[in-house]
Amino acid sequence: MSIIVNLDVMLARRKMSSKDLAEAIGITPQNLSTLKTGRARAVRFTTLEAICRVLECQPGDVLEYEP
Amino acid sequence: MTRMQQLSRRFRVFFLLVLGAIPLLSALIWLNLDLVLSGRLGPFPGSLGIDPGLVRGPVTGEMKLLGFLVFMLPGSLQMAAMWHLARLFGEFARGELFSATTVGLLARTGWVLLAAQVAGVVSGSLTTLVLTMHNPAGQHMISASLSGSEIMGGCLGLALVFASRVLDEARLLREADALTI
Repeated sequence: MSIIVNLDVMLARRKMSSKDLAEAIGITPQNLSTLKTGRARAVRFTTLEAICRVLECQPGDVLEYEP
Repeated sequence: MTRMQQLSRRFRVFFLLVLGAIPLLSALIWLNLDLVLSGRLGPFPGSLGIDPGLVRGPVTGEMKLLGFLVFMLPGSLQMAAMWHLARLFGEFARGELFSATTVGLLARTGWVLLAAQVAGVVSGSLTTLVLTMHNPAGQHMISASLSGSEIMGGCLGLALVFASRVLDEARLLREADALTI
C-alpha cells in the first residue's frame, strides 16, 4: 500500500511505548500493531483524532503518501 | 457458549444422525422388499418410488442388492450434503460464522443437494428397471419422472448456493471491519 504509517517514528520522538499509546487512545495493542505494520485497511477519524491528540501532532505526521 | 452455538451443536448432531440413517434405512427397505411390496405399509413404498404393481416376477437377492445400490446414488449425495451441513454447524458451534470455510461448506451443500435431485431422477428410472428385471419377457420397464419434491430440492440447492454468495459478501465486510482501526 502506498500509504505509510509513521507511528513508530512519532512514538520514538515522544518517547512513548506502543502499549501506552494503545491504552491512551482506547484500542488494543494488537490493533495498534496492525496499524503500525501497515496491515490495516482503514483508519477511523476517531482513532486518528485520538492519536493526534495523544502524540500532539497532525495527521500528516502519522500518515504519508508514497507514490 | 451462546444460544446460537448450543443450537448449532444440536443441529450438528441431528445432521450426523440423518447421515447415518440414510444408508441404514435404505438397506432396511431393500432387505425387506417383500414386506414393502406386500402392500401392508400403505402408500409408503410409492413415496420412495417403489411401485408394488410393477413387480410380476420373483424378488431375488440380486434385485435387492441392485435396488439398494441404485437407491444409494442420490442417497450418497444426500449423505454428502448431511456431512457438509454437520461440518458447517460445527463451525457455527465454534463461533465461526463468516469465514471462507463456512462459505465453502454452504456452497458445497447447495451443489450436492442439486446433484442429488438429478441423481434422484436417474435413480427413479433405474429403480423401475430393477423392479421389473425378473418380469416375464415384454414386461420389463424403465420410466422417467420428475416429482415436485425433486424440483423443490433443486430450488433449495440453488438457494443455498446463492446464500453462500451472500455469506461470502458478509465475510468480506467482516474482514474489512476487522482491519479498520
